[in-house]
Amino acid sequence: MNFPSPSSAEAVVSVTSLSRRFGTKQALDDVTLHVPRGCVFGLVGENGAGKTTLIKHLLGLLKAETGRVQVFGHDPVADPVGVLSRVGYLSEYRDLPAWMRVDELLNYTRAFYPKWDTQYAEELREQFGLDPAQRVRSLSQGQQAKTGLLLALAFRPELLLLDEPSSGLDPVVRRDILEAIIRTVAEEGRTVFFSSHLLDEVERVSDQLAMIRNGRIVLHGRLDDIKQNHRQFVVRFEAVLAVAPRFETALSLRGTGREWTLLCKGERSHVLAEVQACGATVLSEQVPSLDEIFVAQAAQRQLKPAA
Amino acid sequence: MNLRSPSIAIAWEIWSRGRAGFLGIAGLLALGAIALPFMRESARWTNLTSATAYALTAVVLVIGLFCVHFTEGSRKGGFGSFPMRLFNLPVTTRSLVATPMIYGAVAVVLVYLLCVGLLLRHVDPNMPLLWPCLYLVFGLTQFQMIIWSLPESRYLKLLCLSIAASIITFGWMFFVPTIVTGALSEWGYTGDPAVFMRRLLVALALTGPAAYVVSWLRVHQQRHGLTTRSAVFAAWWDRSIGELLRRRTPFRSADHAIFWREWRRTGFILPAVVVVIIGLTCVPAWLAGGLSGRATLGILSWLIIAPLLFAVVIGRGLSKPDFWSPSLKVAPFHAIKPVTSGQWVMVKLKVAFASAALTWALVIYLAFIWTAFVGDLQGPEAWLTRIRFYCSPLECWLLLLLAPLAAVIVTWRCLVMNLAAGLSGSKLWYHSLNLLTGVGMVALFIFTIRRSDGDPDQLRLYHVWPVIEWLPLILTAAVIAKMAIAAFAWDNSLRRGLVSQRTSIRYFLGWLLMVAMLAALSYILVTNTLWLRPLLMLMAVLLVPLAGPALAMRSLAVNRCAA
Repeated sequence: MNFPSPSSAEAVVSVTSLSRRFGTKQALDDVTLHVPRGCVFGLVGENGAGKTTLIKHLLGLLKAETGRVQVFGHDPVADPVGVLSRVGYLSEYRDLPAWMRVDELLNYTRAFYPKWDTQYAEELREQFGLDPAQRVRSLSQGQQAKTGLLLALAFRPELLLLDEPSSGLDPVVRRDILEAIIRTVAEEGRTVFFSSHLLDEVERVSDQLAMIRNGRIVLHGRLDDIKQNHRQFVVRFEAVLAVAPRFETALSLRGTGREWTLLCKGERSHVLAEVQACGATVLSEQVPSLDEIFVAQAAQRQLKPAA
Repeated sequence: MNLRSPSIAIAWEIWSRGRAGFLGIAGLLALGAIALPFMRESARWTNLTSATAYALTAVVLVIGLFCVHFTEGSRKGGFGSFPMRLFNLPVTTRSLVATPMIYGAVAVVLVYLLCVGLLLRHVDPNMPLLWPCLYLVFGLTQFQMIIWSLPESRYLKLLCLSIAASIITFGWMFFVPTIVTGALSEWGYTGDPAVFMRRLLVALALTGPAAYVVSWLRVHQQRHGLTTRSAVFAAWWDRSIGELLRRRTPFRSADHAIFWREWRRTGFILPAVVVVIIGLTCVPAWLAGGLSGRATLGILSWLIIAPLLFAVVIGRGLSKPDFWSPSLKVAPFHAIKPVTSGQWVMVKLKVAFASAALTWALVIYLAFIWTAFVGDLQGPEAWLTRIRFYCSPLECWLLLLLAPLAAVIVTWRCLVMNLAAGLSGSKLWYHSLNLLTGVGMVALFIFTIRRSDGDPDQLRLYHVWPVIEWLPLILTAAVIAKMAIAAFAWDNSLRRGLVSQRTSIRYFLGWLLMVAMLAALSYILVTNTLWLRPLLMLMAVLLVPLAGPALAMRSLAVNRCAA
């Protein structure tokens, strides 16, 4: 499925018709997306939806079976040095070498990136409260997440890839530090691509997002557009309904008796016309949260897996 | 599946994890049981029959031990420990430790009995049963005890494993009647050797329960978070040695950083192991005192063989992306570093060379000191006199220079032998090559023993003369094939941008230099059998890897895209 997006020429990340299969499981299915420079791009989806698989393709850690992946206009598998020297990556699995000390890890990583900013790295280390003499294996999960984030940020990469960055971080660090960092990076004209299943977090920091489900992109675009394109209505019927009414434009429908709440996608006028045609009146109307849109999308896909 | 008790669940886990290994054992046993009777019928193949039977038995036993060891790595526990995930099961520590230990012991005994019944009976119908069974159980339980008891301290664990491995490697000789009788009389033992062996058997039988008690106490401590002595040792090590080794200054380049990492993870292992082996060999020999010239030469020979032997074993780990990780995949942390696969492979080769060079420097230095102060100089002097007789003074000096360099090159070759397979991420390729190497080593070991035990039926040079006649052709074909594969592999790596042209030229020049050194050495060493010279030179060309590094680069590049 293709969605309106910036042209691949001006995109930092350009994925075209990417598919990937692991045994019988279709991990990615015809994924197409483009991420423009300077934007914060959120990738949301359930566990096992294909977020990490997609990010691994962007890093060249997986080779595209079909389709094409380009980062900064280069294939990350064919030109790993050209791509990876401009990409900072925080892995979901925090696979840092456990035997190194924090300062050894910083020195080690620094050797690979000529643009490493020692002062910035030191600032972040102090901000995160990391002891340079401590071994990585003795760090808590949250401290490891902070260390990984530090390593991904300290050379000021043009593209920051964060795979579930909030995992292991406490709410204060997540809200005050991570989000501030993401915004700062974007304000400097650099690009952030991050995956998360925390929708409130994605909603707060993203400019654009893509929703992935069973390896397919089911929603993709600017956050404001997505939210504007969805409406939640509370409608009332004259009579008590024994069975749920049918609305073509509704992604989800819940309620009993006379009052029903429906989350719809599409033009507002079309939805209102459909509501009137069913003999119902609109009691209230609001812009749904991303969380509500996500749940509605998930429920709809479960009902119509082939859609 | 309905697993009705914890012990059945653990048995199922052992079976499930080692299923492929057990099937392999069944396959090898079936193969041996079918092939050996036919081989025995042919009088020409007597040696081959026994070598095959022993080699198959050794491989089957190694696979069996590998399948039932029941240890696993964990982030907190380093490279091996008791499976800590079982600690939260509602099972007593006693059962938790006893169950895998008993299952393992029963399994290896069964495997040995099957080997005797299906393979070894074709060699010797009266194969001993009791002591080999007890010995196998001893080996397994000691291994489990060390790994389970010392999860916090990698180096203490390595030291204990080295000591145990040395005891296990040589300990079996004390159960061979002829060796025991001879050795006991040489040591001045006046009692009955049969009584000595009975006592030894009782001691061997007691090691199993002793290992169980130690393991139980140590696992109990780990399970309840009690501070253990090895944890204290690990903390001390971290404060003292760890601080000493701590890297505080930035690296000059990415290559330098990778070298540091590879050295810290892998490079130091061979020198450290060889120093421990030298200590375990030379210190008891020094304490025993009164060494004959023959014994001195024997110990020196072992000191020369040990680095090569351990290089083959340690090379299995060095060829993987990470020596200590059971996984063959490149961890994403390393895979995303902006360096080419060629850079990484070249650094690995350099680390292996540095490791081999340091090892030989230590061996030569320690062997020299030991021989000068403890050994009997008559043995080495007789050997040196022979060299002086055959070689001119200049050749003697060249030998003195080239022999250590050749030793370093051969050790390096042993270390990097499987680099392409290890970096590929393919378990099948990697383990198949390991198995082949293991079989080769066992066969060589058996061949060496059989040649030196005075058996009139042993393999003689004239038995293999038809092969030697064809050797020039075979070697020439192998050299041509090697060159063709190397040309293809380097061209492929260059075209894919895995390595720079400058690096490839430098490697080729290094290769030429190494081949020249080996060829010069073989030229000097072969003084009277002149037809051997060109053959040895061809072997020198074959010995130094040329295609291997380029294939390893390709393997690593593929592995990096399969995380």
